[in-house]
Amino acid sequence: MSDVFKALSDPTRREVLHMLKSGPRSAGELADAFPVSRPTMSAHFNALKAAGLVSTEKAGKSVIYHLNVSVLEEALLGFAGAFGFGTRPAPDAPSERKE
Amino acid sequence: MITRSLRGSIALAAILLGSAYGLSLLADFNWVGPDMPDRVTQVLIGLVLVLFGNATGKRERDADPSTDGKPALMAARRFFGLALVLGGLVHAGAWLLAPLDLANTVSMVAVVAALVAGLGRVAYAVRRQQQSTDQG
Repeated sequence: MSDVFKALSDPTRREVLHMLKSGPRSAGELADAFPVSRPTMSAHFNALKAAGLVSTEKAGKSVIYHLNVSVLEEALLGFAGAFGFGTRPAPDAPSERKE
Repeated sequence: MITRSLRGSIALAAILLGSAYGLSLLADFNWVGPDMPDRVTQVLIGLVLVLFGNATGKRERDADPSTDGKPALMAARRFFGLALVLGGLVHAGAWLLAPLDLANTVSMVAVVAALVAGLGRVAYAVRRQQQSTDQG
């Protein structure tokens, strides 16, 4: 459970989970949406995967990420976002959430 | 071979049956109130519903997303899980706090509403998926 709290404490990882709510996305698509380096995004993906919040699927050379949260984890994600745990995302980070 | 989730379910069933039997024995000896066995068992049933609902929308850790649930179906499963959790919480809360007659009605309505909403959402997702498969 501490892995889950650790994963949800970061606004970038929360934003990734919000993006995955609208459907699975490739690692490249997700990385392009954030103004951070690929290795940093890779670390974020690893944290999400270690917490079991995403599951992955290999599609050729790319990795597709799927949202994989329980009701409690989704509620924690909502709470963490509502109360702004962790630091704020960079101003140029994408804020639109596609449904 | 008994899987881990099946073992957990059997353990939960044993706890439910054991606590119901134990409490009914205690009630026979007037050590607890006559409505206590019903209340405790129903609260436990509500909490079991919450437990199962919580896990409904989540795949096994090593599951392959390409075969185990398409994204739209997983979204429907998450909704179903949320409905079950809310229904279970209302069920448990009603049996914990409300008078017996009211608890019975409220808990039944909550669980049936959760099942109808959740299964309806899943059925809709399955139908949409079949339609898109037929068209594609």
